[in-house]
Amino acid sequence: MDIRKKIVIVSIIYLCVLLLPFFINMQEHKYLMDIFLHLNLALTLANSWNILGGFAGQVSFGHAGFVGIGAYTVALLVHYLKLSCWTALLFSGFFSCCIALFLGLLTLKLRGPYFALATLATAEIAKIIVVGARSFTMGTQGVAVEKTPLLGSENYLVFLFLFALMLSFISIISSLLIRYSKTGYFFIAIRESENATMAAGINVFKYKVIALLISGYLAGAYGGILAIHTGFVDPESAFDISRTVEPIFISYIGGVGTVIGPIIGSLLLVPIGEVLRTEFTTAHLLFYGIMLILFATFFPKGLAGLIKLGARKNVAKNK
Amino acid sequence: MLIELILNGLIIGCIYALIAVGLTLIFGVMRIINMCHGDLVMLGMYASIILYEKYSILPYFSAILLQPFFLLLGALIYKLIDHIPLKQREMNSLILTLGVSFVISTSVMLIFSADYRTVTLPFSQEVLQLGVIRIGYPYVISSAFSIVIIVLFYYLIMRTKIGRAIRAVASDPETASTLGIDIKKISFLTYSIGVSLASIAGCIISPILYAYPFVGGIFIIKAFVIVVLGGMGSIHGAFLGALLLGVGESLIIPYFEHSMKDLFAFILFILFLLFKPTGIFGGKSRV
Repeated sequence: MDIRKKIVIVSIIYLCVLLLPFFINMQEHKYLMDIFLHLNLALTLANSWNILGGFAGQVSFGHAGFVGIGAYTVALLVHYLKLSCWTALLFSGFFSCCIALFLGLLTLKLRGPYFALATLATAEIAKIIVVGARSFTMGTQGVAVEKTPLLGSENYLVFLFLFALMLSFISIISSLLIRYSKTGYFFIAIRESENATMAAGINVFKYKVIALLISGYLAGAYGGILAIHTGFVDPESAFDISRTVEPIFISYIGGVGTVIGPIIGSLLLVPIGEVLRTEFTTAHLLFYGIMLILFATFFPKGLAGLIKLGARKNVAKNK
Repeated sequence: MLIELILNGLIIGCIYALIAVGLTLIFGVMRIINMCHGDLVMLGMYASIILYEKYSILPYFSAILLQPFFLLLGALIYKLIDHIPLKQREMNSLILTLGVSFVISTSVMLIFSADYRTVTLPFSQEVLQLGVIRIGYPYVISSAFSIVIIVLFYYLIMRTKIGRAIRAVASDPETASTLGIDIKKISFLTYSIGVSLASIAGCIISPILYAYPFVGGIFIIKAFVIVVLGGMGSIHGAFLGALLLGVGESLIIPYFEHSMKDLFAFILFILFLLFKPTGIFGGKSRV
């Protein structure tokens, strides 16, 4: 299947989902809508991680940092400049992108595990700075994000839903476009062998920075939506380590380094996670952890790899 | 006052050394980063707290008593790592041990809740007075204990046949295997030693620091800082780095507010990664 067909299919599915709010009474099915919102957000973050860690092979342990920066951008813009929270949302991804550029110029010369550790440390530094700069960010007290009506309507859940849907659509399309473009092939070449890619005359550093920028943008925008959704931002929740771990779980279980992987992973894991979360408070993390161990050890290609393997076996049988 | 701060830093540094030296050894021999190292420390803290509360066994004894349990756990994790094909091991083991770390910390949270816990020993408040210097007894005993362990460990690595094999594999696995060293066996041994050191550190640190399910994250980051400071895979470097970090932290604590205290370690970490990724002792660049 060529890429145009894939884009059309994704667009059609999204158009169908877009019509959902017209058929379902949002206030009645609040729980369902909440799961749906989380599904879209988780998908965005997983795609963001997968573009950097799956395609370009630069494993990041610092996505919580980008999310936190995005969330604080929205909160502080609304608090100080009295912007509408929706306008601020547009800046959240952009600002996170700027930080990603700075971070990338500093740390992308590092390779493999060293880069992963550097991102872990920078996420922690960002959190400590937010806690420490108390006069500007209110420290551990946190900042309230006031929701403002958009187009005269106060139906926030619908707007959040639409924004999250848009963002996850952008993330899937960019993941598709990258996968089948020259840039994407460079990313994969870097993942497979940085030295060989360099020897082929490709500017490895440039392409790593590009991957980090796309990833940072998506994660920052995710943080912005999260801030508006919860209506409150504090260092503990904004820089929560689970935002680093969740996209890794989803990508790895779905199939790291594939376009379909994060989609399968989030469709499967988010509903299970949400149900477990409501039944037993922290059990979903335990479930994620056990799944991650199983997949990283026994099926490193994830569900996407297993499906492909199954399909190939079927074809062989029919022949 | 200054001497007291430096001494306190050295004491904490000794315990950091126990954690970091295991991490650096595992990296040196197996070329993997053990993300669940900090959680093994946390598990040691909780185990010693439980043993003290239930059977009033001092944490220093439970550090020895708990070894079979931890070695078994270590063997289990090692089996999982060993299952990953060698070609993908560098990255996939990072993800695998991250999963193990999450499973350990969330299980502890589910069982014991997220409360802060510590051991209050009968002599917790007593202070050793040496002239003008005053140090709490738990600090004195823990540092003495960790120095004994470090000396034993040093003897094992530098003076015995096993230690020589471990160092050989760390410096050149291929040559070592042509000389008849069983790399798998040495890897397993190294991993066990690392796990054992981490659990001992956890037990003896429990009267000093508060334990909570996610405290492992702090230990792992600090251990990384130390390992990078001393040079990845260097044992001497890890000792020096640990003492440096301990003293550095305790010297800046009075001047900065509490929340900023960890910033020192991170900034040092980033600076070293950027400008001297091979660490203090230099050596062959592996970045």
